[in-house]
Amino acid sequence: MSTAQDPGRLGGAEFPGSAGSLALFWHVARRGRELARPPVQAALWHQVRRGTLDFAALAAVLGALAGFLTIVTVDIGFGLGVTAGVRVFHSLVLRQLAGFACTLLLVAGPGTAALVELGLMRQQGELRTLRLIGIDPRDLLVLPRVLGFALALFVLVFVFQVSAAVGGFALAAAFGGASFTQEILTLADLLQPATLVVSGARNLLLGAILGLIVCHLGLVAPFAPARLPEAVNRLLARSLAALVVVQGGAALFLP
Amino acid sequence: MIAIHALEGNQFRLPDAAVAAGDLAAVVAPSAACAREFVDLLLGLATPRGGSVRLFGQALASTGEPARLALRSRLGFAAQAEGLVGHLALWENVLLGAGYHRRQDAAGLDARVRTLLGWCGWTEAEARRVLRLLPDQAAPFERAVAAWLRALLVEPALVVAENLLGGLAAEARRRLIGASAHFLAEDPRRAAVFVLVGEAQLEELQPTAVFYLSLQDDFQAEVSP
Repeated sequence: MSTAQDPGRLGGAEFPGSAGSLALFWHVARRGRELARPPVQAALWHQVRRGTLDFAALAAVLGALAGFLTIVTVDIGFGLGVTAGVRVFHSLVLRQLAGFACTLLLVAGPGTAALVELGLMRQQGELRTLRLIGIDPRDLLVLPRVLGFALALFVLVFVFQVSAAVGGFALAAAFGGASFTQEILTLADLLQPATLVVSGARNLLLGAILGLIVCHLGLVAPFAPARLPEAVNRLLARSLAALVVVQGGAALFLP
Repeated sequence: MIAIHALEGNQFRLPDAAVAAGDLAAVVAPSAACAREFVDLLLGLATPRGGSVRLFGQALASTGEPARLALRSRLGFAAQAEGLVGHLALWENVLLGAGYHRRQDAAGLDARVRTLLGWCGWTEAEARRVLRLLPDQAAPFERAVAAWLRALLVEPALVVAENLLGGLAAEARRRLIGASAHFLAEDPRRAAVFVLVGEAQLEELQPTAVFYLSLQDDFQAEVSP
């Protein structure tokens, strides 16, 4: 073992010019054409699969439970009627809880996995290998993850919302005596195309930010296996801050 | 292809060296760390303390990272240790460089892989079994062959191998060296550089040129108590 520093293992040396999440974002924004390369596409679909298929069932169950409990509590428990129940469901479950729950799912599962994977790749000199075979690690590792997280959150939230509406209303009808048809029709009146577009765009943006946070913590910030709990805590704290900013901003300024 | 003048790293120095088309050059390093640092300086991953490196006619000192990546995409790199991506199966590692740099279509790659496997002495059944493994499930020779296949599959003008033969059995070394000889014989414009740790494999490799890295006077290796 030598006393000399190994330049291939220094965080900054692996990513010349990448000082932080904003630099990574700038790189991703400029390198969209790299998605035409087969290994980058494979990495993207791997990330989307890992973020959605593994957690879609859980998101669906959580959504159905959230919808069921909201309708049963407001409509039947408080006796406020179908319209009030569906309005609370729309404002609380569809617009807020869906994004919140799916963000936590994404961060706790694929987010932590990607953080560890990227950190270990850096530890084991694999970023050096990529650079030595002429591949910019940001193209192969950051770009697919940022886009993959964006698509995964978009899909997960959609699954949660559909399941909350269909499954939640069906459960409420089966076990609480509510009218499934009336609830669906009331919800259809409340939903507007602009709301759906804003919700989708917000989830894509939030997912991309989560991907950037994961990549920054895994590839640029100081990382060591022994300090993994600290890295995971940082990931959770930053993800929640991003969630509050994006969700709060959307709630305040958009329909 | 390579012109080195008075190269000084943190751990070693190398007065002058040149590798031309058709050469099979060996660079003998006193340690694995020296070999690693030499490759980093040769391929522009680090900046030398002194001296200069020209790769494919371009001075690395005057090129930025994007230009260096473009230069590296023209060569094949193979290393036995840390030479593969850990979460990709061996077959994904083999196709990584060629797929990323879009060297050939799928049919062309398939045909070329079969040829290269034949040079390495692997049957198709053996290759199918091994290439499904992750790098940490594979034996050293299997990892070395995967790294070597990945390097040759990009049809490089220059191949750089970092301690590829170290720790392998004599028969395994013979197969890899034989594959290298096939590759060089295919096109006289190609060259290969084997960075070796120690002189043990020089006789088997039979290089056309040999360069020795010498330790820096002020470099001190850690000594275990």
